[in-house]
Amino acid sequence: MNFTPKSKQRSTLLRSDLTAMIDIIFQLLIFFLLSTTYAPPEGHLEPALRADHQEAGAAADLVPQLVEVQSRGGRTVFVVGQVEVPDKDSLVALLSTLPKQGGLFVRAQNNALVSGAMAALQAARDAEFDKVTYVPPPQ
Amino acid sequence: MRRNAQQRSHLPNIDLTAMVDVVFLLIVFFLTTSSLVEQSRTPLELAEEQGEDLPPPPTPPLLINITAGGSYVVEGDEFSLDSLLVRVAQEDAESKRRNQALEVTVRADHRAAMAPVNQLATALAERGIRSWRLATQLPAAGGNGGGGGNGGGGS
Repeated sequence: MNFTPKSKQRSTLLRSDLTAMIDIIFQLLIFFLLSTTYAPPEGHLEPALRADHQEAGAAADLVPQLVEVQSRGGRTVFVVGQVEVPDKDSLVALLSTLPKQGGLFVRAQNNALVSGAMAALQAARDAEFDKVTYVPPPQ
Repeated sequence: MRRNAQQRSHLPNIDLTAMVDVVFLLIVFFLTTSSLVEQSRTPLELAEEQGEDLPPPPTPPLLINITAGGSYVVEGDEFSLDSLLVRVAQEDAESKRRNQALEVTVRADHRAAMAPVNQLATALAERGIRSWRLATQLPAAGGNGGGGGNGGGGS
């Protein structure tokens, strides 16, 4: 029978020194805090991809429903057939009136900016085209 | 010596369990959130578009960054178009060996001209790669979303 009071028994329990472990944990924590860079979440557009093998002088095989992104004097212009629109909202409104069955081709001229091409692809999705294909101009 | 031991016993006994718990939680959080995939992201200003609802790609994609100057960067290394296509062919062969399609994600700076993107797109299409993903930067929450943000500001 152990007659020593419980409080004294507890004090004789093995007491491990946690200082070294806490040091290492803090070092790890500081390392991760300093090395972690915040990456904002990204969205994605997934147009199909198709090469346009159009030779000079040959008949274009991409006549219907083509949005062409052009850059004129540093400004982005979207051309659909004979109609030109200056911004994405107008493009969405225009594309919404087109039939959706045939899908939509998007082509950006080499001197157009990426922002313009992405706006056109997003406009196609916003106008609820299911089939959106990006067709680079013949190189 | 004996006095020293007595002094130590009078020190306040701080229970560190809760703090150690929290610190461990933080470490586990940082370990899980800082994935290695993010390291292949080159800091770019992407076009601010909402994108579309897509499932995550079944395999990790080949991430091709296109800088504002029109350079191709993969995993921190700059490539010419020809050397990039060699890399794409290698990755494509590797994917085919595993009976999978090569996933390509292009992150192009919104200030870049489309010429390098078009050259890459033509080369990919000619090699039978018919789908790709174009990365966008999600608009900030609470922003007006639309705004016709086509850049416009010229070079």
